[in-house]
Amino acid sequence: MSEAITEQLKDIIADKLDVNIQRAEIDSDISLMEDGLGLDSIAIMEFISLIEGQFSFKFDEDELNMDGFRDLQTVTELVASKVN
Amino acid sequence: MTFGPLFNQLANNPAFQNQTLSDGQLSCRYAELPALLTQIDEFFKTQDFPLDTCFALNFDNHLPAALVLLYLLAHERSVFLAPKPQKLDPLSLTPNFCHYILSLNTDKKLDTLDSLAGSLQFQAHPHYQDKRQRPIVGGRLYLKTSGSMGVSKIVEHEFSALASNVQNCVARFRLSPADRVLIPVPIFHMYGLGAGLLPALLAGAHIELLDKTNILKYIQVEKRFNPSAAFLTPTLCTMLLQGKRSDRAYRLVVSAGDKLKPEVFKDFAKRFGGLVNLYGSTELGALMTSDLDDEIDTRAAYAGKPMPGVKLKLDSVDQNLGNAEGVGELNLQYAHSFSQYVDATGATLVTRHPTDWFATGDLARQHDSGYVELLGRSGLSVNRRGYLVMFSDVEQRVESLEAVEKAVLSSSQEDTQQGQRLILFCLVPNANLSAEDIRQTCFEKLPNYAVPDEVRVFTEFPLLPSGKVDRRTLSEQV
Repeated sequence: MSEAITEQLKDIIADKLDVNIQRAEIDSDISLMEDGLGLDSIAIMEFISLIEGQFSFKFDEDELNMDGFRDLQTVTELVASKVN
Repeated sequence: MTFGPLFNQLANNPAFQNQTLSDGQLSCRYAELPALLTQIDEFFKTQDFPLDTCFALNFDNHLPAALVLLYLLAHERSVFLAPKPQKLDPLSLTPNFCHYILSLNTDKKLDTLDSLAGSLQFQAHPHYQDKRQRPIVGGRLYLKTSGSMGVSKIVEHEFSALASNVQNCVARFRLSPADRVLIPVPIFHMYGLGAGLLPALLAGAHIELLDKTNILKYIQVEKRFNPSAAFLTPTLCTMLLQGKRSDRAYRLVVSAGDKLKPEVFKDFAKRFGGLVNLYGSTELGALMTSDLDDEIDTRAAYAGKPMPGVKLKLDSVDQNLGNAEGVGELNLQYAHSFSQYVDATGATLVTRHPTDWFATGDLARQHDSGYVELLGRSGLSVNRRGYLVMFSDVEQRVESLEAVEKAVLSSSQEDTQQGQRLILFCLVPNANLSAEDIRQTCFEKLPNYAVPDEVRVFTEFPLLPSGKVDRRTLSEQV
């Protein structure tokens, strides 16, 4: 289950986000922010809304924080908790 | 007015004892400031630096940087400030007159402020050369201008002038110990330091610094710190407007840098409360801002009223132009402004006297209410068919289109029947609006003489390190 979510998240970053990141660069423990993939605020907001569209749920504002969006692993856990 | 006595008053004020300064990782109470500054002093004493040494800081936007900066200000030690470069060697950006570059030893994580002095380190400038005019009495602050209209310059301020500017901001923003002030902008620029950090500190407010701000960090800190006031930029305001799902009320949000689009301003103020534009410069500090009691339309439309002591003069442009009544080039006089421009060795380029008028390069109009309306850069206007076309006017109207995030108008030497040829560059991130559509809309929104002769659409604009649009690079494409 969670592996499938991680794969879908990688697809979103590589294919749908306009950030010039190749799928091969995306490890599940690489940081999403400036010390890793380097997503800026605009890309993060876009990423959040693409996740919400793909998995059909809405994050609560409380869930939008650096702990949940540290790397793909943490996002996967967050998404899994929302879709279950 | 000097910072040493001001900081002592702060630390000794019983009402401020438990107020805090924090960056989310480290924090201290105001009552602890004297001991922390003494600790830093011991580090400096071991080195026996001459009094007129200038230091450069290479720190994150964190509490250690704020404390070292407060130490330097209190001890009248000259300092050059610039945000820590992300990928470049800080030495390459440090002027030669800075003898030492101070930074934090990052080998060991700084868990407590008790070991702050032990974590400080310095590196001598390998190409040190100091030609600043002697004697240098009192501390000097050196800042680089953003260079949005040309070459970046180094600006020198006497600490005493900075202190006066800071006190103006305390009064105009009505900062008080009841405030919780969030500063997600660099304290290494005039804005974050002179309008944000130091006024909040002198007012005895709780202060929280934020480094490498992004939307998630901001939302998280906002929830934990519960700020009543924040110092933002137009980009940050737009980011919050798009990224935040719930509304909340701020007593004060200051936005400085480029002016916010009036419609964005109003949306933001409706959702988050007391927004004001701040007009200022690296050279003169905070110059104009509106009053929180003013109507939202007034706050959105104008740069504000001059700060106490700021005098204003409009050098009129050609009044024969059809629509230029009351419009002039904005000149400002301010006793507490910068003292000179220097080069990388500290040699004087231009000296400044308190009674000199400073040409802002902006076109403005002052209304009977005293409010100043900014109309754009004076270099950024042309005469077309006998009418004054202000670039910012055209840009704002085109930016009111939802698909256009930013518009930049440029003129070329080539003449058309209207006058100088106008080319409009539009940032349309989703590429969902064509150049032809935009030009068509211009005919509806603008008088014919102001309609650009050509429109070009981009999904990305070249930016300066400050985040502002690099007009030069854009215009060179003409």
